[in-house]
Amino acid sequence: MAGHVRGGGQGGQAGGRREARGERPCAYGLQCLTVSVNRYSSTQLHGAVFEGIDPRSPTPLYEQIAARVRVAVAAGELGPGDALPSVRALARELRINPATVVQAYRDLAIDGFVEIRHGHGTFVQDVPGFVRDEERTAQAEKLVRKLLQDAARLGISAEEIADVFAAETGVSIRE
Amino acid sequence: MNNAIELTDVCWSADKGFELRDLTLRVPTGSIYGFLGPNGSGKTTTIRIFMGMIEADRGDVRVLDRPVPADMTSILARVGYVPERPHIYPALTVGEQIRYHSSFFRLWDRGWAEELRKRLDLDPGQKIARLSKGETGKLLLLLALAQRPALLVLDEPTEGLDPVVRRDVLAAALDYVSDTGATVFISSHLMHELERICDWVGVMDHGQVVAELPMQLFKNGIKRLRVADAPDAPKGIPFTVLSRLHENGAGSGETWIVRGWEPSMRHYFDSVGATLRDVIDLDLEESFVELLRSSRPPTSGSR
Amino acid sequence: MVQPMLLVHWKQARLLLIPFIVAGFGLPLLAVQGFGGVGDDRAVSMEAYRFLTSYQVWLPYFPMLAGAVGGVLALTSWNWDHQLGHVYALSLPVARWEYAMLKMGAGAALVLVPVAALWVGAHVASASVALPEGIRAYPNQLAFRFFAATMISYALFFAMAAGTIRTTVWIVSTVMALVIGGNLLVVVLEPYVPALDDVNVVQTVLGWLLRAGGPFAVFTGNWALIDV
Repeated sequence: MAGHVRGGGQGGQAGGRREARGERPCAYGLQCLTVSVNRYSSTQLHGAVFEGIDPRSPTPLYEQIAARVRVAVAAGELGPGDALPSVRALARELRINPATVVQAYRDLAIDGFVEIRHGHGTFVQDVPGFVRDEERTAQAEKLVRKLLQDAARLGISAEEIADVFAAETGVSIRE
Repeated sequence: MNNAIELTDVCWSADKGFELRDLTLRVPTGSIYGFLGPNGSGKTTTIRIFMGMIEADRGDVRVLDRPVPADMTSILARVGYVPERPHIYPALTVGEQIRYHSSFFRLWDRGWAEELRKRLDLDPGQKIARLSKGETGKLLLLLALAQRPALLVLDEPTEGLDPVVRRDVLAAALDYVSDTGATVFISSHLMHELERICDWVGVMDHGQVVAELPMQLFKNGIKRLRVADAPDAPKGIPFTVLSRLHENGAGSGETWIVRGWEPSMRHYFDSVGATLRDVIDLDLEESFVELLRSSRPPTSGSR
Repeated sequence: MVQPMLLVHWKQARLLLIPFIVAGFGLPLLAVQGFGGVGDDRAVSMEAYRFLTSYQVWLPYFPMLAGAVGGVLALTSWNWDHQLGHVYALSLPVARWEYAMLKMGAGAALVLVPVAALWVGAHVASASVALPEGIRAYPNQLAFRFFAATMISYALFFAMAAGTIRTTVWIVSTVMALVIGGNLLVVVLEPYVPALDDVNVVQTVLGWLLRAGGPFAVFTGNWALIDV
C-alpha cells in the first residue's frame, strides 16, 4: 500500500471557493479531488480550513493544523482579528485530542501568526506581507517536492512533468 | 502526579494457563492513551486488575497515585468506567438508572447529566433492556462522565456501534477532556479512531506490554523500506529490523519492516552498499499488525 | 443511596411481594375459620379444646411462610448482581461490606411489608371471632414471632446469596457431610462403645439449632394465634 499524500497546504484560493477532498487514495497514491463550488459560507470558512486533516500521515496532527492556518493567513483567507475555532470546538469537530489543538495554537502563537487571549479565544495577528509571501513560497516548495517525489517513484521524468504542466496551465517552465 | 495508572511488574495467572507476566504499564496524567492488542492478549484482564476487580499475584498497582486495591473506594470515586459489556440493570429505566448511579458519587453533576442526556438523545422513561446497542453505549458513557472523573477508562466503548453514535460518544468524551484535562484510557480495535485522538499508545500481546510510547513515535518509527542489493547479514544496523522479505519477480529487491527509523538512517544503506529505494509510511493499523507479526514465530506457509 | 437502592430491590421483588402480602394477611384469617363469628350462639357452646384442635392444622404454615418470605426476598435481592457478574457493584465507590449492608437494609425494609400484612390480618382475625372462656387471642405475639422468623430466614439466605454459588454449595455440603458423616460414625461405633447408644448426631444438631436459645428456635416455638 503506497504512502498517503501529506496533508499539506491547499495553495492560494480566493473567496469562499473550496475543494472538498476525498479521503481514499487513488491508484497512484494521490488524493482524489472532487471539486464543489462555493459550498461554504464565510461562517463555515474556518471549519473548512481544517478539512482533510490526515491522522495517518507521519506529519504530526498539530503540525498539519498549524500549517493550514499559516497557509490560510498567507492566502488572505484569514485576516487580522479573525477568530480561530475554540480548542474545544475544533477538537470536537476533527475528533482529535484537545491537547493537539492546544499545541498547534501555541506553535502558531510562537511564530507570531496568532495571539492567544485566555478566556476569549485565539485570534489571527496582523502578519507582515513578507512573512505571508515566505509562507506561500514554502508551501509551493512543499507541493513541488512532493510532486517530484511521487513522479520519481512512478518513473516519470521532470521533463514529462514539465510538458504536462505546460499543457494544463499554459505556463511553460522550460527555458 | 505523573501517571494516572501505573502497573509495575504485575503477574497474574489463571488456571487455564493464560497469564500476565512482568506487566509494566504507565499512563501519563492528562494523556489520551490507546490500549491495543489482539483478542486474548490480556487487555480486559489488565483493566480489571487496575480497576480492583481482580487481584494481581505479584507486582505494584497504583491508580491516581493511590494503591490498588487498598484505596479502591476513593479511587473509584474518581474513575469513570465504561465496560465492554453493559453492567447496568436491564429492568430499570434510564432515569432510574441515572438516579441510582448518581447516589454513589459526591461529585455528580446533575445539570450536566441532564444536558448530556438530552444531547445524546436518551429517553428517561425507556427501559434499559429495550435500548439499542448504541443507546446503551451512550448511557454508559453518560454515567461515567457525569460523575466528573479524573480518569476515564473505556473498554471497547464504540465496539459494534454505528458511525453516528460513535461520533457522539467520542465527541462527548473529547468535550469532557477539553474542559477538565482528565486522563483517558481507551482499549479499542478501531485503529482509525485511536489514531486521531490518542497521544500515547500501549500495545499488548500474550500477556505482556510489547510497546508503550507516544503515538507519533510509534507511527513514525515503523516503516516499510524497499531495499535493493542488501547484504544477507548486515552489521551495525541503527534501527530494528522486524522482518525482511524478498520480493517476487525480477531484481534483488526486498521489503524490510523496521522499527525505530529516523530519516538520517538512509545513509546506513550507502555504507553497506545497498540502495534504499523507498520509505513507506504505515498507519497505526499497519504498524500494529507488523509489530505483532514480527514478534511471533512464523507459522509454516505464511507470507 | 438508600432510596435508589430501595427502588432497585422493589423492582426485583415486586412480583413476589404481592402473593406474600396476600398470604400474610390471609393466613391468620384462614386459621380461625373453624371458629364461629361474633355473636354466633353455636360458637359459645363449643369447648375450648375443639377450637384449638382446629387451629392445629394451620400451625405449620406460619413458620413456613416466614421462612419463604425471608428466603425468597433475600435471594431476589442479589438476583440482578449475580446475573451481571457483580461488575457494576465492583465499579461503585463503596466498600463491599457497606454495599452488602445497604442491600440488606433495603431488602429488610421490603420484608416488613408482608410482616405488617400478617400483623393486620392477625388483628382482624382475632377481632372477628367469638372466643369461648379460657382462651384468648395473641395477635401481637404472633406477628412478632413471624417478624423474628422472617428476619432470621432473610439474614441466612441473604448471607448465602451474597456469596458465590460455589461458596454456598461448599458450606451447605460441608455441614451436611459433617452431620451425616458423624451419624454414620456413631452408627458404626455403637456396638463397640456403649456410651454412644443414646447419641444421634442429626437429632443433636437439630436440637442445638431449634431448641430455645438456638438460632432457629423461633421457628419451633408457639405459633398459636389463639391459645389458653
